[in-house]
Amino acid sequence: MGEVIVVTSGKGGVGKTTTTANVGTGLAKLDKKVVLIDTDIGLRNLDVVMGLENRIVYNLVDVIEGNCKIKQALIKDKRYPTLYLLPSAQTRDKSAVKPEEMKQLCEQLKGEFDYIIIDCPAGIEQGFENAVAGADRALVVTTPEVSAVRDADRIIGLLEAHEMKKTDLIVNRIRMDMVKTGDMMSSDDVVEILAINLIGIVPDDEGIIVATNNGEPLVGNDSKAGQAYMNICKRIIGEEIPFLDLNAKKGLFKRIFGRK
Amino acid sequence: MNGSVMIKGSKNGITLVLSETEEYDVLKEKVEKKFSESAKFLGNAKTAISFEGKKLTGEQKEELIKCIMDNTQLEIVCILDNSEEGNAVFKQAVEKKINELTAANARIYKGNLRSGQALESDTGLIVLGDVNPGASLVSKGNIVVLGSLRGTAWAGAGGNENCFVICSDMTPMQIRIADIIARSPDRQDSKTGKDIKIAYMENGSICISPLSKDIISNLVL
Repeated sequence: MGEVIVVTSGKGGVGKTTTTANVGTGLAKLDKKVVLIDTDIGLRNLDVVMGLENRIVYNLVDVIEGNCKIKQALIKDKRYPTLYLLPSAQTRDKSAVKPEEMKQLCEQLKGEFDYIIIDCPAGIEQGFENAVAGADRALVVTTPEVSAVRDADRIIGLLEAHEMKKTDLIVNRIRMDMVKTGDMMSSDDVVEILAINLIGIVPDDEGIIVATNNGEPLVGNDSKAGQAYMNICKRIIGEEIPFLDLNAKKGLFKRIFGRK
Repeated sequence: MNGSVMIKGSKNGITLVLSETEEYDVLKEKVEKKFSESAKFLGNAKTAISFEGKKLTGEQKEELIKCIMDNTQLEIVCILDNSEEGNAVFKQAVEKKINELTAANARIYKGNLRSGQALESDTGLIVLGDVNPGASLVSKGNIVVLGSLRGTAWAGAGGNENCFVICSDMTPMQIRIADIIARSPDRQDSKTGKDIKIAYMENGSICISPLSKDIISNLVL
């Protein structure tokens, strides 16, 4: 029986789609059967981040409206055979799908997949309602900035009102150099305001931009961001992993002899 | 029908309207006459009476009532006070009592208030938890927050200027007491110490100071 996880944030641009892609790919790397669902109808981009945009034939709205079977709409990932994507529609808008329909779809997919990860659109209206309707747990993504934290707080309040059973926090795009000079909130500051369990801290990484453009999520690779996302995946399946030390600088020895 | 004495009936009883310009004695005779004429019509009910128009002393009211009871079969049970000042005094006394009650009682809420949530109460509010930015507390009485107050708090929402806001970590977006609004300064001093602070109204503006025994003893509930 699968677990349905919704990745939401309230604020736009904090890294929901990136997180969905990386967490999904990471779980597939750990040999789980995963399906990613993009519920941002009208502004889809999970397919772009996954590099699967030219393989789309049917989409989420087609499935809901009964124009095709679910299997016809699912796209197998180009790198990992246990990872699938259900893309969104680009020519419709969020009123094309209702929360009950999403709930039914999730129930159907639960029988076949270990993890169903739903990429929620920004905002608190119909798109959000659709995305959380079928979810068992939520991952709230925020950046360490006052505006993002304000919106995350609102979203957490709404999730509590929806009686979401488990809500975890991911602090994304943190820059430890700015935290040190006091110019950016630390992850402790964020957790103090939001008061939910912290499941991951992902540092700001230029590699993400490169990975997005190539359509290949960087989870699991050597960069700090890649390792951070892999740790999040492992924590999701239940392992206890200590948080990375994002401050680690190269020692003198490495600096002299480690330069390539 | 001469207009100097008028009898009005209402569900509250009888209203006796007396012309303000005539002398009391003249009016008394007219009252006697009027009531004895309408005695049969008025019947033998138990009723209340109220006076409008000419201002009468207590004695004069008693006389008129006796006159009415002598000349009819009515039993005047009580006098109703419909006067403007009477009503105003009552209203003030009731409001004062309500204010005291609302200020002295409080509702306890446990948990954090998140952005977008609001807690309203006719009595005071005690919050065991944080109030995040974007959340609001509205109370007709006093507000006490045992946690961080980062949202907006409105004490004395019914107009009571004696209300206060006490908080263990006072960094609100706005504080309102009765009709006055105060906002936090644009540049926050970093961490001015987490002592318990109280916001109260003094001379028409809101002051915030650390909670001391002096201030507590000067509080009016």
